[in-house]
This record gives sequence, C-alpha cells and structure tokens, in this order.
Amino acid sequence: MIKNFLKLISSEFQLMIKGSVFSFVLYCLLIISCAIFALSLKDESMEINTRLSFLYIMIFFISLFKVEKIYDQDFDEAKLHQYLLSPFSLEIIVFVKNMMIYLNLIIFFFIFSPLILIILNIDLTYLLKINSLLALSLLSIIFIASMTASITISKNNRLSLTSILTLPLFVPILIFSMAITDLIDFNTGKMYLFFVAYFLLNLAFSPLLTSFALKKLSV
Amino acid sequence: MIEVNNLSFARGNTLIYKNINFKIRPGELLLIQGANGVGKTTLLSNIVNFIDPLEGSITYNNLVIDNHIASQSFLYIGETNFAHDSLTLNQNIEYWLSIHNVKFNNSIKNKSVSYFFQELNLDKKFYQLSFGQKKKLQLLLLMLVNKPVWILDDPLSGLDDRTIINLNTLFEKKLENKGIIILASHQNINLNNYKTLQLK
Amino acid sequence: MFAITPNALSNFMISLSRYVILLSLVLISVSIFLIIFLENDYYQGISFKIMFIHVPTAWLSLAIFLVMGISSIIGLIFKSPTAFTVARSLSPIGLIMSIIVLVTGSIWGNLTWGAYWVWDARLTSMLILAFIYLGHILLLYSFEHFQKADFAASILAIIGLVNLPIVKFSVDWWTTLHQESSVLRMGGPSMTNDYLITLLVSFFGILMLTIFWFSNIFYIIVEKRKMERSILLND
Repeated sequence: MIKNFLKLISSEFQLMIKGSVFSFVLYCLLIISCAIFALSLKDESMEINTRLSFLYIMIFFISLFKVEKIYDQDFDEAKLHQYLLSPFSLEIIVFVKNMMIYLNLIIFFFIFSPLILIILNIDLTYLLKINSLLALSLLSIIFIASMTASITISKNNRLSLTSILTLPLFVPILIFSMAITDLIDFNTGKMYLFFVAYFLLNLAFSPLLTSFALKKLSV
Repeated sequence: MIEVNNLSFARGNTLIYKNINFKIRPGELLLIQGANGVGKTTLLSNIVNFIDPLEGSITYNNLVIDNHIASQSFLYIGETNFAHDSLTLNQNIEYWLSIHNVKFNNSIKNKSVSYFFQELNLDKKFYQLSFGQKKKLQLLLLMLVNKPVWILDDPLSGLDDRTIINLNTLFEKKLENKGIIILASHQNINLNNYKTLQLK
Repeated sequence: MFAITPNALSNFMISLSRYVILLSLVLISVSIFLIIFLENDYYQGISFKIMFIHVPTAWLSLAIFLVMGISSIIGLIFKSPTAFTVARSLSPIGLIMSIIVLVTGSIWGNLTWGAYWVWDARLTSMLILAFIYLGHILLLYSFEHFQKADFAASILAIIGLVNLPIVKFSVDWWTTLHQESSVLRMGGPSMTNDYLITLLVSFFGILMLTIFWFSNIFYIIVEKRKMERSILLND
C-alpha cells in the first residue's frame, strides 16, 4: 500500500509537470497585466501597498483558474469512478492533487517573482518576505479553491464559473494579505502564525468537504 | 451473490426505472439489454453504489453495498475513458494500477499487454491511440486488477473480432473461477450460458 | 430534528403560522406606536429611529445564518431532508434581512457619519454575509436536481459558517467606526428602558414575521416536492 502510494505520488508529479504549460500561460497573463497596471500609473508614485494588493489579487485569480481547470480535467466522471473504487480514500487523492497544484504554482512564482517585482517597481529587498508570505497564504487559497471547484464543476450545474460566487470565502486571506502590505516593514511573525493556523483549519475541513462534494455532485 | 430487490431510480423529475428484481450467483453472467435511454448505465452505477437508489435495496453476499464493500470487490469499467491524455501508455497503466493498489509486476503487465495489443509501443501518448485501442487500454484493467465482481458498461463497442474473441475467453475464465460479471451491451455475446435482463 | 419528516414539520409550522402572523401584527403595530411617541435623540434627532429596524434585522440575519449552518451540518451528517429544506427555505429570508440591514445602515450612516459606506469591520462582514447568502441561493438554483443542489449549498453554508467568525476577526484588524454593542454586552444594556423595550418589541415583531414567512416557504417547498414525487411514482 505504501509503495503504491509513493508510486501514485510520483505519477501525480509527472502529471503536474505535464500540466505546467497552463500555469506558464497563466503567469504570462499575470506578467502582462502587471505591466499594463504599472504602465497605467507611470508618473504617479503609487504606494507599495497598492502594487502589492494588485499582485495578490492577480495571484488569487490565477490559482482559482488553475484549480478549476485541474479539477475539471482530473475529476471527470470516468476518472472519479475509478477513484471511488480504489482502496485509497478520495480525501487522500484530493490532498495529493492539491499539494501538486500548490507546488506547481509556487515554483513558477519563485521563478517569476524577481521579474514581477521589477515590473511593479517594488524594491527587491522585499523579495524573500513576499515570497514566504505568499507561499504560506497560497496553501489556504488552494485548499479553499478546491472546495469551491468541487461544488461548482459538476456536470449538473447550469451556470459556468460559479466559483466566483464563493469569492467571499477567500476574504480572510485577502484581508490579511492586504494587512501584510501595511506591515511589511514591521515584524510579521504574527502573520505567519495566522496563515499556519488558517491552513491547518482548512486542512481539517477541505479534503473532507471536497471529496464529499465530488462524490455527491459529480457522479 | 448479488441480489437486487424492488429497485427504482429517478433523476431529477423523471423516473428512469422501477421495480427491478434479479439475483446473480457466483459463476454467472448477467447481460443487461435495452434501447438507448432506458437506464442501463444508471442501473450499473446504482449497483456499484455511485448513486443512491430512490427505493429498494442491493446486497452483495447479504450485505448492503456501501463504499467499502464496493471498493473491495467491484471493478467497474465505464463507457467513457478514464486515462490521462497527457501521460504515455506506460505511465497511464502504472497510474491506474497504483490507484487500484495492485502489486506491480513487469512480466505480468507485458503478458497482458501482448494479449490485447499484438505489437504496441508503450511510450506512445494516450491521445495518439485510436478509439478501439483506447477501449482496449481500459479492458487491460480486467487482467491486472483482481476483484471478484466485474461490472462492465458496453465493453464490446469499437473492438475488432479478434479482441472480442479474446474478451470472451477472459469472461469464460472468470466464470470458471466463480466470478460474477454484469454487463450492459447492445450486442449479444458468444457464451453458452448467461442470463439476460431486458429493461423497458 | 433529524427524525422529523419534512411533511410533519410543514404541517406543524403551517398550523402555527396563523397565530404567529396575528402576534407579529400586534407586536409590530405596538412597536410603530411606541416609535412614533418616543422622544427624539438629543444628538441624532429623528434619524436614530431607524435603529428599530436596523438592529433587529441585523440580529436576525446573523441568527438565520447560524440556524442555516447548523441545519446544513445536521443534514449532511444524518442525511436528513428536513434539515436541508430548512436551510433552503431560510436563505432568501436571510438575504433580504441582510439587504435591509445594509440599506438602513447606510442611510443612517449618511445622516450621522456623513458617508453612505465606509470599509469598516461591521459593514464589511455584513456585506460578505449578504454575498454568502446570495451565493447559497444561486447555487441552490444552478442544479437541476434538488438533492444535488442541497448538498452543494449546504457545503457552502458550512464553509461560510466557519469563515464568518474569521472574517469578523480579520476585519477587526482595522480600526472601527461603528458603535459598540449597546444591548448584548457585559454588564447589562447601556440604553434607557423605554428605548430597550421598544427595540425588543420591534425585534419580536420582526422575528414572528420571519417565522411566519419561513413556515410558508417551507410549506410550499414540501408540497411542491410531494406533488412531483406522486407524479413520478404513478406515471
């Protein structure tokens, strides 16, 4: 069982690598929109908060799209039938999938972040801080996004992109990320703690609710 | 033994079927037939407990089928393909075998691959295959995963004559070993002895 | 609650609703009478009288969400159709309550603070509550099959229930402009008695109206389902 689990993880990793073209496209979109944003406030000296808020909101939308795409592809009916009959519980598969999406997005962000910061005219001394805060908050974002994707990708659903309806659920993360930009010069230890606690809360809830929703809604 | 009592099912506001009763003992094959839209696929997914029936009960060895029993003893092959498009054949086989928690053995794998595919490059991408070849990849699970009950949704469509003969021998072997096969199909199968259920 | 069939609850509620609407009309007319004859506030003039709609609806919109979340949890755990139907019939009421809170609040805010809207802790969390209600309703009606819709919407309600305290806590990070609670607080209420009595009378009036409304929506849903099911099985 453990050997097969490791094999499963390695297969999921391969799958993630194959799917990273989509992430690359999304990050190109991010860079283009950051460039347009920076261009539009060329002469005005916008505060660093505004630039960082823009970055956070874009990253948030990117992860929403990515999660929705992966869930749409990898949890279609035929695959879900096999997952349901597997000895591994669906919660574990969902967890592995979420972690792979997270890895994919965060690695791309680490690669692109210097470029993005330069485009947005943010001092590169903030690089480490921004990266580590984003790495922590992205975990929670992906776990919430998986819940909302699972309740909205169902083939029985008449509306498309309904996960936009569930945007209010992301508000804590967004608010805290904005608060970070206020506090970026101060000690952010409390923030890290909040993100870890919020992630643990999501870890307890999210795979359960996601797999439940997939079982009930998508089969 | 699978026993179905007084089963009915509705999707949304339309009744798909009602009052279905049958019994299958080990070593028997049930062929579910009927026109399009009478609920063959729905009946199968009802048996595997993917969806809950409106009324009635389904039992396996006198136990009501839940997720645990289903995952222990059922192998379900549906109409649509479950393979990942971006992986190669070999990677796909490995992926689904690890999902089904099968001890991986290269020689058995190669034997079963050569049983269905005469000569095939396993490093081909999945999307490069033809429809029949994709179907065969699904059926490969029948040989590699060891579960007592097979539930197959239209396994014969798109296969060439040679593969259908091979599949029939597989069915015969399974029935000799006291397995249970339930299959929904429009075609008849070349077996001496099987039950049919006509859905209306 | 999870052993009761939807049918029994709907019969009970509908038989009760006659008395409830009577009581609610009496209470609301008494409260209107009281509000008219109440002295104007020294600082705020007549505008503070909007409080007697604003505060009860604010309490109710939070209470309704709590009931909705709890009944969603019960529904998911015990697979109880009654609990799902309770959640389904409560969400439109909650949405309208929270919209009333936002509208009356912003009118009041314009009269006293001089701005219709500020991004303050209370206001933001109430707005998010309204959005979650809206999402719940849209999710309910985006599925063909009502059971699937119930499952999806109840998951949303549970996530919302978990998230709402966090939203509240996170927006408290910023300084707040909204006044402190003056009724439900440590050391007893801080208003004078005549204000408090008027507030409570209007609260119970609106509560009774809500119960009446809820029992009617519940009854309609249950009857519609019964009809569909009978058509289904006798086809």
